[in-house]
Amino acid sequence: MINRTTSPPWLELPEITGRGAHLLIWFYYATISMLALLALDDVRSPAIVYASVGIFGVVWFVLTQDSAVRASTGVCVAVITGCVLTALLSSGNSITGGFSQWYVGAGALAMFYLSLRGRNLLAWIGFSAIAVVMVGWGLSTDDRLLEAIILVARQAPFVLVGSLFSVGIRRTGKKLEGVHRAETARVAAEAAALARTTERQRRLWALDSAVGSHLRRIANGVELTDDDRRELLVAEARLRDSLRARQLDLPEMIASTERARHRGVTVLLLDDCSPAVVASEALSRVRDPAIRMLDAAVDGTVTIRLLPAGRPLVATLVADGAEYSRVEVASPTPKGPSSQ
Amino acid sequence: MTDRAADAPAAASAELGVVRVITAVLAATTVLFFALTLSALVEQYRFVMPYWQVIAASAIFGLPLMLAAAAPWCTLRALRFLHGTYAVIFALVVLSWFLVFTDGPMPTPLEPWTVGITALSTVPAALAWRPAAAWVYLVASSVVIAPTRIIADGAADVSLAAQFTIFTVTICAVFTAATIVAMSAGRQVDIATAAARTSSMRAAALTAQVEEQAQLDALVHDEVIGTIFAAAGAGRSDSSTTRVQAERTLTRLSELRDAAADIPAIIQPNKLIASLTAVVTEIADATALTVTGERQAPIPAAIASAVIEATSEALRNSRRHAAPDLAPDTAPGAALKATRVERAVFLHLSPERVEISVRDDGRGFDLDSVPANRLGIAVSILGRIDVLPGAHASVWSRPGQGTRVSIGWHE
Repeated sequence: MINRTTSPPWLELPEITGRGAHLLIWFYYATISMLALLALDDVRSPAIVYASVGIFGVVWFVLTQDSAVRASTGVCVAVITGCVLTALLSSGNSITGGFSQWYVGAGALAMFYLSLRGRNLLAWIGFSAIAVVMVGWGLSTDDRLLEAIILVARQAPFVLVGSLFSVGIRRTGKKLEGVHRAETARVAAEAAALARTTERQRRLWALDSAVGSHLRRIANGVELTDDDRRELLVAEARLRDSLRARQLDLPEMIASTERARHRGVTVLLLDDCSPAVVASEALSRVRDPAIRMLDAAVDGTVTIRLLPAGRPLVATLVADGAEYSRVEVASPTPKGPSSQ
Repeated sequence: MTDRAADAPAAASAELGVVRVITAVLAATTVLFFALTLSALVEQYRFVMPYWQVIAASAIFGLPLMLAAAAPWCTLRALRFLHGTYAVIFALVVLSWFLVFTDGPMPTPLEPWTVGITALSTVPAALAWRPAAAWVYLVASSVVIAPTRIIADGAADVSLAAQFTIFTVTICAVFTAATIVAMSAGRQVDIATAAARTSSMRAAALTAQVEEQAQLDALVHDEVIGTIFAAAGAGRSDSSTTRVQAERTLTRLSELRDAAADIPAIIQPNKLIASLTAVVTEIADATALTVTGERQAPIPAAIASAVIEATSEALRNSRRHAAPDLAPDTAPGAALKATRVERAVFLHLSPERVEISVRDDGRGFDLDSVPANRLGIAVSILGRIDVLPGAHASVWSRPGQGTRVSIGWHE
């Protein structure tokens, strides 16, 4: 059963609100402003160019100030208004084509940015508004309608690229999300099945090695001797150890425990730490004194207990027979083993 | 820790998805540019050598369409290679213009049609190559516009040619940057997806293991211990009740052994890597898993399961026994340092075989002194592996020289 999975992340539009994106925007603004100012000979009124450059400065400023991945409606409206206003102001100002008509490309680029920031519809509305202004200007002239149409058409790829890209990425993200979810569920189920089979085989092999022959003899109706029964009781105790003290189910511990039990010592192994795992170094510091205590015991009871995680001690070892002794094994950080 | 386990399947790669989207957008844009350039192509036919215009236009406007058509079936590597090839072809077309422009200069406002579509090549370059190479290509492609325009109009307006170069750099930079960022975002999604998948696999495996433990614990407690205790306590193992109980227990154990969990008969190598990663992390977190070689063919699940189990047992053994013995008066800090054991797991995959080596530099042991019935090595590693067809296992160890467990399987 899968009770915990981690959701795969979504593929989303690349974030273009960072410093790198802003740097590119301002680099473009500086370049296009310079080109506009170099083309002052091609315009009727330089003042309109200055005003348009200023308006675009505001447009880019507004766009870069909004750090949300999806641009807000207010920002979009401000950007569109600025671009259309510039087109209205400047369209009649240019004497010839070239960089004197820079504002159309700049407006299209602004719409491209709006597309990338999840505002396809507003981007196309803005670009259409710019196109209407330009065609309107073309109609108002004697012979520049074709120039206006070509000018608008040449900038359309900006908005087209932006919107196709954003739609494509969004669709791909959704598709991938479904694929990832199914694939994650599948591999998790397979990993669970593999882990289950692995654990089962490990335990069954261990179980068969420990008591398989005993069970088969009982099933076959073999008469048990007193020695057999003692062996069975020791094997039964070992099985209980494997349930109550999984982390103490170490070969040397098992051997020492069995020897002690054969001598008549009552051995109690307890793991109150599970399911937390005792570090291997700490466990080896429990194992050695425990084996010494088990090997030294001749009667009475030996209790070896792993303590709950987070305690100052990892384990306590108590021998209560002809003599009483208690060993405390400290957690690795504070201090080493001590006895009293 | 290896990140091979985190490899996302190519079909579900976000980076590939991004490249495919950009390829499609590029194709659509190319069609638009072709429509916008058509009149220029016709007008400029008389200034260049015959047939160049047709070949060049076919290459520049035709190849992106072919790329878009092939993209759904291409791997990421193949698609990037094709984009790189297109960028090179584009550059060759632009440069070849200098050789074929034989009947200039062009009258104003005509300009060579190749100079207005530079972004069609800089985006593929950004898809194909590392960012630094893409930026160099962008600058070079933009710079070449100046001499093209100067030669085209007979140096009528050098300043304007320079202005166009700068303008092209700024415009192309926007698309190149967006492409690089989008691919990087796709790559990040792939990495995060693979990590999430590995985490889910690990969580599912851990939960299943705990559930299986609980089920087997119940079986041991209710059936096995009950049977053993009844036989030992009653002293009448031939009594029908105890015998039936033992038979039932053996049957139950046999059923469990034979029961196939809902696991496929074969598993993919990346699943083996992921499961080994989970096992290594679970048992010995600081242990490095190094994966070498490559294998496409799946592995029988029984083999994978046994190999994982043996690796897990080898690591457990190492954790239990590898730390060296210390003198009783060793200071705690020194003890911690002295008992530190370096462990490493190596997995080598090849079309013919799978080899795993679990090594530690701990205290080692004398192989001859291991009791025959010792579970860890005898049963879980050597016994389990050696009975499987094509599988083998060996243990090497010497006192003071660490331990190496080798597990392998061949087709």
